[in-house]
Amino acid sequence: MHSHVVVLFLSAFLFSIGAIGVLVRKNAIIVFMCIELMFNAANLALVGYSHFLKSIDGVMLVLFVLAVAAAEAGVGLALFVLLFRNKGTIDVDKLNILKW
Amino acid sequence: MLAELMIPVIIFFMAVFFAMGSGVMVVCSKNPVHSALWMVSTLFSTAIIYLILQFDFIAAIQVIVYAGAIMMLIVYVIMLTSVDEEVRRKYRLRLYQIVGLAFIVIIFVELVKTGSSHLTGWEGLDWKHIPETFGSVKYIAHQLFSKYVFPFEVVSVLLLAAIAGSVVLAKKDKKD
Repeated sequence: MHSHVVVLFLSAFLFSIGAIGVLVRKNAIIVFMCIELMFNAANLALVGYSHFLKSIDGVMLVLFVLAVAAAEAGVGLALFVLLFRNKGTIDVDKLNILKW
Repeated sequence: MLAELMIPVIIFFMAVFFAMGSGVMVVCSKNPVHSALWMVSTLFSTAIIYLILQFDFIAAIQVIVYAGAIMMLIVYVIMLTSVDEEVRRKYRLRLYQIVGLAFIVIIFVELVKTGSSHLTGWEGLDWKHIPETFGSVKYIAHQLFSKYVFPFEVVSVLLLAAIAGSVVLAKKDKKD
């Protein structure tokens, strides 16, 4: 049984699902969650390779990805709250104020 | 003996299917709260896979930081903004979406091909050849404070900047 294929398949699947979600969903928070899903897929691939190659480096990278994801979540969600307060919506299709 | 070997494999495959199903549900559910809860279950399934791959510490961090802290933050922000379900309007895929979906399919196929071709010689989950201490907190901490000490410090500065940034962004203007 080749479970590395299973882990990497799951990683690829979650990454693709996350990317599809970023493309098709309208709610900014769900788009954000899909980005987290893609982070998670990358982490899964790193941990899988770390297990396979018996090297701890992938796991260390996962730790840093987690820290950066936490920082990003804090700032990103503050941005959403601010957007909602000023615009009354977080629909990404309606937030086109950068367009002229 | 055989049953002992089979149980982790069964749990592993259950976690894989559960992660895939909940991943699809994150994208498909209309209500953002449901989406967030499915996301939590995806993260938990991934944590189980980490456990089976013998990285206990990473699994714990995954549950605490992702499923605990980040998802709680997301649920709070959903509560602060809106819990409206997305209206199902006439949905027409735009050109950029079609191109994007095509690229996603290509990426998926290529990732699976790469994953299944490169790794030869790894026969399944082997936790016999991995030393007990490999994924342990002690080993990770040793690496973190020797080889990775510079990134570690940089991350602490990044977190500080994120705290300051989110406070500045979210505070109300005194003038209004």
